[in-house]
Amino acid sequence: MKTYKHRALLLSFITILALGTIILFAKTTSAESQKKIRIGATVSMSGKFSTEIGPFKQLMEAYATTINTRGGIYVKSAGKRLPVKFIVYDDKSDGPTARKFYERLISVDKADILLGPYSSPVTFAASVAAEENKVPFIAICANSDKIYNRGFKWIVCVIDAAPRYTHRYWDMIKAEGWAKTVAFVVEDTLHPQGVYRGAKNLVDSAGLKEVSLNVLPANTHDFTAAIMKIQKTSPDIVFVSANVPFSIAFMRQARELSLTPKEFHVIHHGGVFKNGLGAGSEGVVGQSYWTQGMNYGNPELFTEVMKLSGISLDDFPWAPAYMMAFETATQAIERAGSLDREKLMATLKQLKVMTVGGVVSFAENGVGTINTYPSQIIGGQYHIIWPPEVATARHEYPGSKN
Amino acid sequence: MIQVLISGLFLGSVYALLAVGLSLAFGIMGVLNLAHGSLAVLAAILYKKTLVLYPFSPWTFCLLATPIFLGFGFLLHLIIVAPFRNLSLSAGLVASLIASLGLALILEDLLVCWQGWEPISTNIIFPTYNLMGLKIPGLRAILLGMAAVTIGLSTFFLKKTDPGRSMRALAQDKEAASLYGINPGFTSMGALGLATILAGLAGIFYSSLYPLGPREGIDLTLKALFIVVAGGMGNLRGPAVAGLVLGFIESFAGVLFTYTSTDTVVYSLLVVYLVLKRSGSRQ
Amino acid sequence: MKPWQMSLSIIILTALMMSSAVFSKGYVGIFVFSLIINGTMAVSYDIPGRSLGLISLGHAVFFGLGAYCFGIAYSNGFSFFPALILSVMLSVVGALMVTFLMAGLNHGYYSLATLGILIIFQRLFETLESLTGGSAGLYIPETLSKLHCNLLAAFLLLATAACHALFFRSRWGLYSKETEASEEAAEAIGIPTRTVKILCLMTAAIPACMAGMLHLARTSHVSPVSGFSLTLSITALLASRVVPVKGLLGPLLGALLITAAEEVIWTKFEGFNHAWFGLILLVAALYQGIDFRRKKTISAAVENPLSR
Repeated sequence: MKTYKHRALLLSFITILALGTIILFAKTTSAESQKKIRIGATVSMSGKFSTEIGPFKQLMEAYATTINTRGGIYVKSAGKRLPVKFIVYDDKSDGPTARKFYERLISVDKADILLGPYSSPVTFAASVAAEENKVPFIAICANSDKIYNRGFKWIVCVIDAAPRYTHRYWDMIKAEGWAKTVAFVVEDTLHPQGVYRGAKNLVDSAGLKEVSLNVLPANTHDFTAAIMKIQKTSPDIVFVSANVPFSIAFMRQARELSLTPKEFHVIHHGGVFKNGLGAGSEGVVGQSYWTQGMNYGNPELFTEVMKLSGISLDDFPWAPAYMMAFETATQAIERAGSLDREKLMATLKQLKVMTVGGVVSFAENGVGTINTYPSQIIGGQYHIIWPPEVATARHEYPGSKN
Repeated sequence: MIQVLISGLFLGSVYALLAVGLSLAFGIMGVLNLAHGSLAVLAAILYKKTLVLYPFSPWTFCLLATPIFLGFGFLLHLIIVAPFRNLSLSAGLVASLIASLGLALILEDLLVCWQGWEPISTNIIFPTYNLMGLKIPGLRAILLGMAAVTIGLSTFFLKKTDPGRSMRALAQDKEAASLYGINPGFTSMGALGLATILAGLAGIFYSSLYPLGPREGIDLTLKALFIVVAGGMGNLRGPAVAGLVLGFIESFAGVLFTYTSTDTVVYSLLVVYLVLKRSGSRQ
Repeated sequence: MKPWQMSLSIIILTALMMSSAVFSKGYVGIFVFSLIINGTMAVSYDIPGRSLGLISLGHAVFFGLGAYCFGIAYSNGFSFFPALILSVMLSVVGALMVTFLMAGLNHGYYSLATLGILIIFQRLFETLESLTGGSAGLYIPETLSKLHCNLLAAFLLLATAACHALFFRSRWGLYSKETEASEEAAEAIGIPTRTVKILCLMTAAIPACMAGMLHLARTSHVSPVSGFSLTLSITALLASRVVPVKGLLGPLLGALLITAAEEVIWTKFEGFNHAWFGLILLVAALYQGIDFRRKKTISAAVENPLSR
């Protein structure tokens, strides 16, 4: 009898929970104030990208707090400054989940503008929701060509396309003229593959020769065979196109097995990489959106937001790209003078705005202009090394320390 | 070729250590502990946090941490084994699976809260030795030795000591073991304690070589599960050998076939082997 | 199944059918669609789960197989229904191969082998990049309106529920119960246990394959990780077991509970989403353990009043 009662209770509980969910959806819509600028986004707080951008909800909230303490964003049609509110969900690093939450951001939370999720595959799926519902969507760290070749009208991206990700580095190598051969180590995932394909073309046009190509799965734990293969070709540059965990594991073993090219280039060599390798990271060149000392836009605002969020730039080098997206959204709202989605999108398409990482504008297909700068770990610090007008230190080569 | 073989040995030793604890828990208690990998991550974080304060060597820390993980094991027993001891084999398996998954998810969030989002990488520097043209990384060699000692000691414990024999008896026949005066609750608590120590040590070793995200616990468990499947459940030797074999296969991947087809080859071989093995045993 | 359980099951199915027609667009449309897909996965999972006592950790193999077969067929120029028919045929062959391999295994070995199969398919489909799009997955344009996708999914759930009910009432249901109790004894009385297992597993596999196809048609994207998903497999397992009620009602309520709980936690709780979800799982598991022990205590007291 008691068991039966427990079960009956449980069943009631389930029904209430299920109904409650639907009721809560409706409540959110009507409960939300209309006097706020609602910016919707998802962040990969779980899943494979969580180590890359897990705490970025704090970055968004810190930006909102900073802007709101200054009075908010001026919206001409409202005749006053409106406070900003970020509505953020965890997309679990998964495309369909992200798409579902973007649908929620549009239909339940009534977001005025959307910021994209992290990575190309997730953005690919999520941007469909924005396109179908005609809501402005600013993609951030998603530069695969596939996203922008679909003819979508409601998407723009602050950063440049993946194939051009390292063009400044190869410009520098060509100008310096000391390197002749390159060996590639590529993680078999979308972004590293895209960067590799671009780098391969840039290498060819810079007159360098590819002497070894090693495409490895993301979960590779032993690189001995690849390292020995590279050693036989004695390349001037070993170019590692991979995400951070893969890069750390590769570099650790490369150091152990005395792989000594003139230079290691690791596309993502942020703080986690540096801390994970310690002295082994010294001299490694990589790509950065921003380092201390760059003076584009409003670096003080960025520093303030980072401080408030408690996020370290070294650990999360994508933070500047997110800041550029915030600045772009802010400028688009101010210049449109309205939260009307069509006006916002039209303004975004025409926008040319100075951000912390440089000037952002968009091509016809939505691809942006922001690109990374080659940076080197010198004395444990990151320094931009090219182009000369932005560089904060001179490029050291041969850079690898044994 | 020999260099690749040595690297395979190093990698395999870490896999072996990861798998033996899980095998022990499954073999003795019929528990599929999905929190096994999360406990390994917990150990890795504990080691990283301790390193900041005291520069312990891996072996000193492992010695000091053993009682802590034994305690975690006892606590784990109260959550994923004790409440289901009266259930049937199938119901018990499901209940422990759900409970351990729940625990793994709770641990994930707590670990992110404690450690942050970035991967754990302990960054211990050891020199690389040159032995007749072969490169022997000091840290990997030390970890290999420690893994061998740990598995050896655990095997000795299970085979030559009374508590170990009790655990094996419990694995073979719970009722008969009870008739011989073995306390199933106490013994299985000890077995889970030992399994948790092994998980902890595996986490410390793993994070010394590879970055380990705070949410990677369940992935680690899956890796360990595979090795257990290949090696057999309830003993230490089988998973240890299977771990080493997996290490060799992964190391030779780039030599024998393309890296990208490694997983397909490894997992296909494992399932074919499993099906053949089980079909054979049925007949 | 008791009459009140059957009535409640019918009410839930009817409500889901109606919801699929009314709420086809936007977020609520996706939520209703995931309720239906999770329901299909849970009900199909429950067929071998309850009848043979087999605990699969790889039920999503069939889901992914169906999704990929459909995606590949559609990408190669087939329109929706021909692609659907072709992919049903292809995935039935694939599912048959998988179930044929798995039918020889029991208990823990079965669970682990199903997990192995899941990961093999994940890696295999990552490797076959030219066909499957590799780790980034396969994208197809919208093939059918959202309303039609939701309705088809609802009919699939209805058909799966009918299969569930019919299977347990058929002689194959009885055979599978006998097989679960003792395979040797069942064989001794002439039950073809291997055929029973394959039939039972295929009854569960086909709806899961079709759920995968419809999911791809609705969301336009499948990747090896999201198609051959351990999370989806475990969700099906949990949904079929979390509510301790036998018959169709158990997995249906379980799917509602798990999907709704996950949704509420992921949208309404600030941080600690995993921990909250984990806590629900832990409580559900402990409830099963406690519930069983209560029953045992009561029955022991009835059998031996002096024990009180």
